[in-house]
Amino acid sequence: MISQQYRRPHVHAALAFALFVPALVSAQKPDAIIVGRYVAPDGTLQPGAAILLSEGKIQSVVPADSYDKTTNVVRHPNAVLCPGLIDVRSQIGASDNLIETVNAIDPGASAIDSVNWHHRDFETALRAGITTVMLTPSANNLISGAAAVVKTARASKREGDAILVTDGPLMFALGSSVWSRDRAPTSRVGSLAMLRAALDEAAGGHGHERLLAFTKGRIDGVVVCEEAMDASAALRTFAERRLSVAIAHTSDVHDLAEELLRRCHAVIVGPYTFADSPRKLSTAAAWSSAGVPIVFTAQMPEHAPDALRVTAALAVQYGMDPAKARRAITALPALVTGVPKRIGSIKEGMDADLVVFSDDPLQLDARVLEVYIDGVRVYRAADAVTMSSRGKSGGLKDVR
Amino acid sequence: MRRRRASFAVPAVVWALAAQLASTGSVEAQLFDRALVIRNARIVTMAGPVIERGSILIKGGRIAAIGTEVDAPFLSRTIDAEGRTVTPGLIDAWSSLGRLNGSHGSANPTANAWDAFDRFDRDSFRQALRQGVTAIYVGPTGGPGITGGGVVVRLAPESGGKAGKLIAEHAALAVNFGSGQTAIARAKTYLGIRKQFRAALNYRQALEDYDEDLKEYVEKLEERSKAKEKEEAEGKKEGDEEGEKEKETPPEDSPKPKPKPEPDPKPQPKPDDDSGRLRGRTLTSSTDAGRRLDEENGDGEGGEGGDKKEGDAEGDEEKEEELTKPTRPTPDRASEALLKAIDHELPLRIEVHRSAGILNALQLAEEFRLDIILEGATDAYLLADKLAEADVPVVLGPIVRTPLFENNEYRRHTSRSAAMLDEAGILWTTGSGGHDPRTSRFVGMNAQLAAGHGATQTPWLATVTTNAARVLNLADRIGQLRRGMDADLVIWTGDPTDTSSTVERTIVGGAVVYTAPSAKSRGGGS
Repeated sequence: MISQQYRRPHVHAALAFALFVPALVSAQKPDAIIVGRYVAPDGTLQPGAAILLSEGKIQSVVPADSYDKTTNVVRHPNAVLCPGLIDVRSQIGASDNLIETVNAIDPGASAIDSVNWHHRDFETALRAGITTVMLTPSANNLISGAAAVVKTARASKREGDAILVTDGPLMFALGSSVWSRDRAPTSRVGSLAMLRAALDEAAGGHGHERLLAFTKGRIDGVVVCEEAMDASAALRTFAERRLSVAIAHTSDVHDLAEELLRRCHAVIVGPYTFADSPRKLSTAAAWSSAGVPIVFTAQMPEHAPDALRVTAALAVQYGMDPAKARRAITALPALVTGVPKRIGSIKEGMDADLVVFSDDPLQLDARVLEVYIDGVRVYRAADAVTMSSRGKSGGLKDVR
Repeated sequence: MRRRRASFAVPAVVWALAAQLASTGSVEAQLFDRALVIRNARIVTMAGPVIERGSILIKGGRIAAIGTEVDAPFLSRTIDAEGRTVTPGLIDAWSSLGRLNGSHGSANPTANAWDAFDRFDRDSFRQALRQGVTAIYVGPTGGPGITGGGVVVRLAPESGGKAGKLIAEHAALAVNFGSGQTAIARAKTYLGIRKQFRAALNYRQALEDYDEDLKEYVEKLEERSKAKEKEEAEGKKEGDEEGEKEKETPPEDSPKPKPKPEPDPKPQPKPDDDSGRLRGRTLTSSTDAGRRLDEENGDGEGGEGGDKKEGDAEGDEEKEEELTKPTRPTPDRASEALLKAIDHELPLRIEVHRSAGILNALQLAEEFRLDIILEGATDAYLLADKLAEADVPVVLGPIVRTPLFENNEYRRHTSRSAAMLDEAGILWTTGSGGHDPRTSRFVGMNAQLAAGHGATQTPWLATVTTNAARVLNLADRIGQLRRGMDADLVIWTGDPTDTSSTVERTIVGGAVVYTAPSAKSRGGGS
């Protein structure tokens, strides 16, 4: 059983040694991590810092040379510390069928109900530096239910400790994947008619309580839009009702930026693949430079966890500002999950979900050396120590 | 005949010259061979330490000089690469760029990938050049089986709206083990490939036998004519008139020996399936490694039986020992293609994924003493020690795969694969995978991902430059920046490892073939 609003208890030292991932047997709970560089909340890379940890939280971030304690300190003089990466459109750990095929409007569904905590996908994500995922019901229905926000590993034994939010953003979808032969809607026009009707009924006090909460602005919404025209329609529909949503949309329509900027709080883009057209790959850059907050997604397990960083790297290669790209896999997805005060940034008071990369996480040759969740090390690459002292992994500076 | 050939040769030379002039870059550059100098660059040569501030002199499509101090000839063009990094052009050692979709067909060893190469796909080539890719290996499609010759193409614009220039026309003989098939079909494919190699060896034996037989035949003819001359000489003594009559009408079956008996200039045209028949027959007759040959192999040609009979009949008339001219074996292009691999003229590139297939590949290499390169090689890491021992290079496909589709032959895919091959000391590179032409341009990022998953013994850039060139057996031409190498290089805005660095200029064969819009506005190249 899972409590409605999960509150994370303090991580007791005793629990820290009894962990569920095998790698955690040698788990470590340092008082401080000292690194060569770190990803600051604004997305820039900042020079050396000591990140002080306490009770699974970041206590403070101080200059590296001002921290003089030597015991229980992890040092990575050449590595980059990054907030744990976040994927906001994920279905990992979900067992069996996530696609509800009868009800097109299904706000009562909860993604958390289909999670198999022992699924290996969680560890795969963790090794790629992804510490938090927003699990979303399949985007095959107009209203597909509530997303859940979970961590990919736990510092304790209890299942519930991995859950950040059970009642996450309400998921909407528009586009051909919503249409069906054997239930309404069957068309794009029908979709919008049904969606408007549902929203207006809820605004009048009728319908599922989640939908009511959404129309009152108490919970967020995410709309998955296949085509640019679906995105436009979604923006229009929700803006008319003064409802702000995040739009999940990846296309090559650069001039959608203005509309997106005015009418939604974030755009979820991705994943980009090596097969995408140059125009599509430059969309994130175009929208981002127009001021639209961009959030990247890997859409695990349909794509590998690496797709998150590959998407960011491709966006940067096609003109996106690197700091914004780093924010698009850390701080901004945290905003979409609804818990930006706990995850996504390295600053005082945040959960100590941290990834030690051998280099800038935007560089695809950067390796995940260590991963911490709630201040406890939950993954460590076999050669993490030698790598972090050697510096760049296979970089050109090593070339002889 | 000869005269006509000679008169044709003159325009051929002119045409070749004209084509040469028109092909590489501007005509002006060819006529005057204006040198190009890149100055003040950080040069990652891949052939030694990084030159922090140096110059490269390019002349005649090659690197004429490289170092901290380079003398520029009079009137040379200069590119100021202050703050820029120069690296060798990236090589995609397993690409499908320019390969037309739908060109799948049955496996045919005589096919060549160049024949299906779309040289008008200039937009795709430009995308690749924009990412610093200057050369690609493209294999033939089709299969399973021996699918034909793979080529290495340089991505340079050519005249007439075309692009792409061959660096190696016979880079490899491609083999597809049919990874997507059922187990039984895979076993059959492997057996079929073995049979083809055995047939090739039989064909060679047949040719050698023919040469020997022909020699014997000629010797016998000479002997006989000498004997006849002797006889005639003796006969002349007896009676001159009779002898002269005989000379005027020599018997048909004993022509005068030519001074240099050439092999039959017009081999009997045979239907194409003859080679198949030959193959099938030898298979049933021989089960060992294929080096041994059954006696009847040399005389299996269809026409020969008839010849023999005729010879017999004539022999009866003459009442002499029968003397049959040996028949040249039907030309077997498929076997000829395979013999090139057997003779180590080119390696066998085997696309294989499962460990069982990799073991088959090693077996095949041992049996016929072939140089093999594994392509794809999803399970290679499981057999890393064996591959290292046999010194087999590996071309990995995409480092990161979509896990949902990791079934069948890709079931054991791991992004750590490259790291494990790296550790075992195997010569490896990574290609875009040969199935999606659009991914070829990101072969550099692919190599970076390999490093990100622990392949840190080899710098990622070496993976797609030096190592790729070594795998393609072109290490003396591309993959490094040193004197005498082809001038295929990339000027990056910064260190190429840095994701925000982009390609500013791509130079292929000494000609600037891509210039980023930002570089155009910056000027330079005066």
